[in-house]
This record gives sequence, C-alpha cells and structure tokens, in this order.
Amino acid sequence: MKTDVTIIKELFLSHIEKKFSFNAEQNFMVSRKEKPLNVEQNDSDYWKKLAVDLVDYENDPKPVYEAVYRLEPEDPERMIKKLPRLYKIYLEELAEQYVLGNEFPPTTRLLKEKNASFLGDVVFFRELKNAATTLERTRMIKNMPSTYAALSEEISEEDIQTAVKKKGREELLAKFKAWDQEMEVEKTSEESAVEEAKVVPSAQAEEEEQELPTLQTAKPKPGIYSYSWLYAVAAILLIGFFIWQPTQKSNEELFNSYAGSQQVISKIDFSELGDTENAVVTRGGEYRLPGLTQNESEKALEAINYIRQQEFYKAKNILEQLAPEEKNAEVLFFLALTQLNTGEIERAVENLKVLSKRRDNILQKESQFQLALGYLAQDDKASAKKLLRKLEEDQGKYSGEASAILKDMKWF
Amino acid sequence: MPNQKKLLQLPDEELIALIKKEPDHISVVYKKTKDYCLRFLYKKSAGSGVKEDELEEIFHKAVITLYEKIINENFQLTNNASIQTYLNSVCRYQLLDKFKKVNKGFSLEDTEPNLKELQVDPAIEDELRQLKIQDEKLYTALLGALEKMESAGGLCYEILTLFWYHGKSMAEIAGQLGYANAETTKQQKARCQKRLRQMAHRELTTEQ
Repeated sequence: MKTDVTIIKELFLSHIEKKFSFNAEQNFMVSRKEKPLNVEQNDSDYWKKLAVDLVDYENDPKPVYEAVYRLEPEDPERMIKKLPRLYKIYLEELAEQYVLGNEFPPTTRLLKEKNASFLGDVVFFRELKNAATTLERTRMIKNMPSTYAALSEEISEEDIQTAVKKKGREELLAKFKAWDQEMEVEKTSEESAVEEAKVVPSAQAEEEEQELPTLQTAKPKPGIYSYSWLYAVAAILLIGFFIWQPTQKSNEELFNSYAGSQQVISKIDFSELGDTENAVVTRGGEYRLPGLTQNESEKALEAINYIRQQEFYKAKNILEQLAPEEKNAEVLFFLALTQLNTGEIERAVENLKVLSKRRDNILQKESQFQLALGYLAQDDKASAKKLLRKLEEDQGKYSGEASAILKDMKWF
Repeated sequence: MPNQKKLLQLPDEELIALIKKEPDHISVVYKKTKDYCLRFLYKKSAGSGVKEDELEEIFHKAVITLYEKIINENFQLTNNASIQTYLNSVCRYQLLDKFKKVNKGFSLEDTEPNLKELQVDPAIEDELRQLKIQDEKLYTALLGALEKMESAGGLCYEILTLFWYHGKSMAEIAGQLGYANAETTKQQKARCQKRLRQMAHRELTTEQ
C-alpha cells in the first residue's frame, strides 16, 4: 500500500533533474551519469516533513523551498518552478488514496481545512469508482457464462448458436447453388427441346408440347423466385458487412496504435538536429540549436531524450517552458508531439498545421504524419485521409505507415 | 474436457486464490454453484410471488458480492463452510429482503437442521455493497464517458476499471496489459483519467 511518504518520495525523485549534453561526434544526445543524491533520499524524517509541508505549500512555500535545496538537484530554481504542478499531482494522489480507503496525516489536514482542490478530486475519484463498479458488475454478470466457456475450453451456448447460424447459412448457400444448377439444366433442356422441335417436329415432340403446360403447373418457374430471394439475402449481407466493417479499425484504435508508439518515435531522425547547417557550434564545441540559448538547447535535448523514452509528460513540462513557437520549428514539433500524446489534441493539431507548411522545418514530413494522427484523434477522417494519401504518394519514410492506416481505416 | 473438469474440481481455497489473481475465474464459481442456488431459491420462494428473473438476479448479485469480498476484504471461508454454502446463505438473506418488499407476509419457515441440510449458514448476512453516489450528475457523465471509452477500443477502459473496480496495482496492470513497467502504466492511467475528466466535463457543460 502507498503511503504519503512513498507518494512524495516517488513524486520528487522522478522530477530530480538529469543533466544532458550533446555529443557532437555521434550527433546524438548522451545522458551523463546521474548525479548521486545526498543522504536525504533515505531519510524518512525528511520525507515525512515534506509530505506535511507540501500540503501547506500555497500558504507557506518556504519549508518546501528549503526541502528542495536540501535535495541538491542540478537546477533548484527549475525544480521550484515545478512545485505548483507537483503540489497538484500530490493532492490528486492523496485524494485517490483517500477514496481507496487510505487516510494519512496530510489527508486529515486537507479535509480539516476543506481544501477545495482536494475535495474536488475526491468527488471525481469517488464517482469514477462508482461508475467503474456499476459498469463492471453489469459486464461481469453478462459475460460470466462465456468467460467460463473460454476458461474451460467448453463450447458456450453463444458459440453453438453462432455455429448453427453459420451451418444454416452454408446449407442455404448450398441450396442456392443446387437451384442454380437445376435452373441451368432446365434452361439447357428447354433450349434443346426447342431446337429439337425445330429440327424434328415429330409426334413425340408434339406429345411433349402437350405435356409441358401440365409440368409447368406442377413446378411453377422455381428459378425466378430463387433469384430474387438470393439477391435480397446477398444485399442484406452486403449492407450489414458495410455497416459493421469488421476488418476495419476505428479512428481511436488507429490513433492509439501509432501515436507515441516506439515504431513511430524511432522513425524521427533526431540526428538531423545536430546537422552542422542547422545547429550552431559554440566555442566549447557544444551544439546550440538555432534561436535558443545554450541553456535552452540543453533543456530541449533533455526533453527530446524523454520523448525517445516515451515519457511525454516530462518532456512537455520542459518544452512548454522554452516557448518555442517563434524560436525553433523543430523544438515546436517536439512540443506538439508531446501535446498529442498527453491529450492536448487541439493544441497539438494547431501547432502541427503550422509546422507542416513551414519550409524551414526540417521535420516537415514528421509534422505531416503526426498531424494526420491528430486529425484521427479528432475524428476528422477526411483531413486525415487527404494528408495520408499525400504521404503515401510521396514514397517517403512515412509512406508505409500511411498506406497501412489508409487500408485499416473505416470506409465511412 | 480435462480443463473444465480440473477447474470445477479445484478446492474452494485454491479457487479463491485464483480469483484474486485472475478475476475471470469467478465464472467457475458461477458455473459450479448456479444450479444448486437457483433450485434452492425456487424451492424457498414457491408461492411468494417473486418472479423467476428476480431469483436469477439474486443469484447474480450473490456471486458479485462474493467476488467483491474476495478482491477487497481478503475473504476467507469460515467454519469449514464451502463457497456453495456462502452463496446459498447470501441468496437466502437477499430472498428474505425481497419478501419484505414483494410479499411481506411470506416467510421462509426454515428450521436449524433443515438449513444445515440445505447448506445454509443463517449467520451470513452479506449483501451487495450499495453505491454511495453523492454527485448524481457527475456519476452519470462518468458512466457515459467510460462507456464511450470502452466502445472506442484502446486500453483506457481496461486500465481504469482494473484499478478502480478490480483493485489491481500498477505492476499487475502492466503485466496484464503488456506495459513495460508500473511507471509507464501509471502515466497511461493519468492520461486516461485526464481524458475521462475532459469527456465528463464536456458532457456536463453540454447538458447545461
């Protein structure tokens, strides 16, 4: 079980800054060895105090600032800037634990002080738990027989019914075939009878001609009725198939499969940032990205490293502070990428729209592909299709992904 | 079918441990106890006016009661009782409750030896936990948003229900859904919760 101390410890340690440098020779970001933390890491009194002090952060931030300095992070000021966000996450986690039945000293204090933010989180999580309970109870009751069948390899009633339906359909199709064959035979025999009648108008033919009306009365043109029936069934099946589209994926499924996936991230050519034409070499031999200071460049590279590890929230926190809109197109692309993967779809799409048209953006194709994913997340299939077709036709590095998505997309 | 036989023959304690690990195994309890429980309920409710589908609902609620006891309260069978005894008892208690609502004059008229014979422990008075909904509008909006998440596919619905209903830890969810580790799962859960909050908020503001 989580405690207030474990919550605060995890929260702060995960936000301790790592330092990154840019290795010019390899055109690659290298993480320096993380600076070892001082003794505070294992000091339970320190964490217990911080757990209580952070609750009072909005009224008296000084004890929290002191605690941050005692941790000796790489850049204490930056860590301090993050405190409002850490405070918010902390309250959320305490609220979550409270709803799960775990109350700690900081929780008691928040309740006593009627902290609005904390109480709001409690209401949200409590109703979320209720809603999840209602839905799961219903789902479990409904699925229990089939779940058992799946566990025990037994054939469920549902499967039997499906099999019976399938068998019925197969038999029906076989009947259609047989009727078709009968009709062919009848047609051929009718034609040959007519031919024979033309060639040899014999007494036998006359007899047959006389017999024919009797036969037709007994079996009235089966083929005509069978065909209309067959067409109706085929049309229903076809319409059903088009509506259901069982082989296709929803926009959300496609977005979830591609956005932020390792496969897509690995396609981004990070080394292009280190291109000598693009980057500026400082006297110390380190790279500085256009429009950014040395310090900002290092931060941008640190964020990019987080993106490569699929840690989008951490990356976004850093990139937002750099405000790259007017400074650097590539850094703005990475910000948009993190926005896309942290639920800020509209902001991501807005940024990517600009980027996919900017000629100074060396990650233009990447921007276009991510924009297509953004459109999928917004359910704007028409815009997504248009862009994906363009990427497919370009035969560039995203043509494979674009083709695959277009193939899997629902038809309407 | 050997697997089927094996599952149905598992000792109750082992079955409970298995359910704790893999919730789907509650279906074994369902299969194992349903016939007896329903026969018991038909017999006890004959002439009471309680309908057949209501009896089935009583049984379903009893199974869910047991499941929630197992995952939330470290449930253990007492006095050499079996899962069947526990469920019969929960069903009986719920039937009594039903009589209070449907047919006040009707009673079970069961005696102590009779109860033992029928595998019932009258001391068991468990029932399905009532949800304490405090913000009806938010609850309804969240229900709608969760349903949308489920029908849209993806793993958000799974993550949120595994955590909030089935009581799974981040490490367990990571193992079940194939995430790299607990930390990644935690981030994904936070993302899903944020999205759910936005969806519910949108629904609430549209309503107004």
